[in-house]
Amino acid sequence: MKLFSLLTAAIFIFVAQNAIAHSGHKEESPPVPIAESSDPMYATEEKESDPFGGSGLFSPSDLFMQDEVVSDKPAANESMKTEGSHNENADHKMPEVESAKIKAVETSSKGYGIAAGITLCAGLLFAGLTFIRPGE
Amino acid sequence: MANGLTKILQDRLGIHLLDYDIPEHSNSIKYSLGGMTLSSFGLLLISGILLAQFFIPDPERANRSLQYLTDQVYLGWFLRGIHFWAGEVLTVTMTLHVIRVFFTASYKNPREINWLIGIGIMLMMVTLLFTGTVLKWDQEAYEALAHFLWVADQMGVFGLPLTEAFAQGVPLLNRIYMAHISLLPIIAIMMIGLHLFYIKYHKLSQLPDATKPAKNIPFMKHMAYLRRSGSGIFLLICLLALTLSPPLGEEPILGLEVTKPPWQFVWIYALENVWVPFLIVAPPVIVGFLVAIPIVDQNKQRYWKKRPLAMIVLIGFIATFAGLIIWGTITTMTHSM
Repeated sequence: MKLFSLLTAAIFIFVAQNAIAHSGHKEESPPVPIAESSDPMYATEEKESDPFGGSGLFSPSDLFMQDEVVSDKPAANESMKTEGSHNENADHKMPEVESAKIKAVETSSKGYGIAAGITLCAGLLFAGLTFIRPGE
Repeated sequence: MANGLTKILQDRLGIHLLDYDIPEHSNSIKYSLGGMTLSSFGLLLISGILLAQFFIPDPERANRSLQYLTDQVYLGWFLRGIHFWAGEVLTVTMTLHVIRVFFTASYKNPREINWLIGIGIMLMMVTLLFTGTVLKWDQEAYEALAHFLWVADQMGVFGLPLTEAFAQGVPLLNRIYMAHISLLPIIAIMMIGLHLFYIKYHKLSQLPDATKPAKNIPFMKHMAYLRRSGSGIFLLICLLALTLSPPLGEEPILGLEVTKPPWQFVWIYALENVWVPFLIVAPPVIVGFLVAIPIVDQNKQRYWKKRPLAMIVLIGFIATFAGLIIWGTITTMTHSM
């Protein structure tokens, strides 16, 4: 009986702890409705948990839409065009696109010292195999 | 104790099967280019597995996940650099390997099938390179995919499996990712296995100008040489990754055609500038040409001085590709898809 009482108390404490923990924020913001995409192809779940933040500019997902101006909400009956009529809207002001280039690595990059160490080890390994030539 | 352990392992792992002789000239750079390519491929597999832990194959997140990897993840930039530069080095060593095989006529009887397998591996590598370019999902990637889809569209029903219409509701990027990390590497690995098997079966080709059989060395000596050349390749890739970061643009702006493909594909960009359908015609023509080589070339001679026509073809091929790459790099697009 005593054991049962203790167990019951422990369960209640556990439940109460959870209830308190999850009810700390009284002013919960209403759930943000996820914009429904007309095409399930582009539907992405759990947008709010995106570690990279929401897309503020445009959605690159609708690659194959006709319009040059990209919308997060493609029209319902928009056809899925697979080839780009790239210059269809040539009259529009063309956005500037800087093509990506190979750049020098900044020494402030995260883990640069370790990367340099790995490269040094690779160099030592190669030097060792070249000078000692084990098995050759 | 050590000898006992070695014997136990040898008995159980069948290592003694590697104890056979191969020609001495295999321990040279030009006869180890295939091994160097394999080293790069191994590095690509390892770095690719690690990259996959951070990549989100979703059109809305793919580019940002890579930006996050390179900017925020510890050593993420280095990992991506290793993967990128391993691909670049692989392209170079693989091309040199093919040139060497052609130059020394190692594709001739009885090695024709292995030449064809090699062409298959090269196609797999080119496809892996292409799909890898698309996965980073920047402007260059978008335009590469747009061109590819145009070709697939022109191919009609044959191109259908390569389009999004084949699996509606599934983003094409997901399918490309699946091909890049699963389908293509599996096929490539199987073909590499077959390629190595036939090298063992037919033995390494003799030197073309040899008048008598070459001196042999144990295969394990060649393995030691490959270990050294592989470590050299690893060092080169590490140095490149440490100093030069691979290109990565912002998310694409759709409808634009402003970038050029990577240098490995820029020759086709140049051809396309002359006549757009070259995009469809050129790849199968080149593949057909490479496949036809061992069938058409029935000349028994293997020494380059006794194969003038083959040498003209080789030089013409290299010069054409080099010219197209240079032209594609300096020219500007005069048409749109």
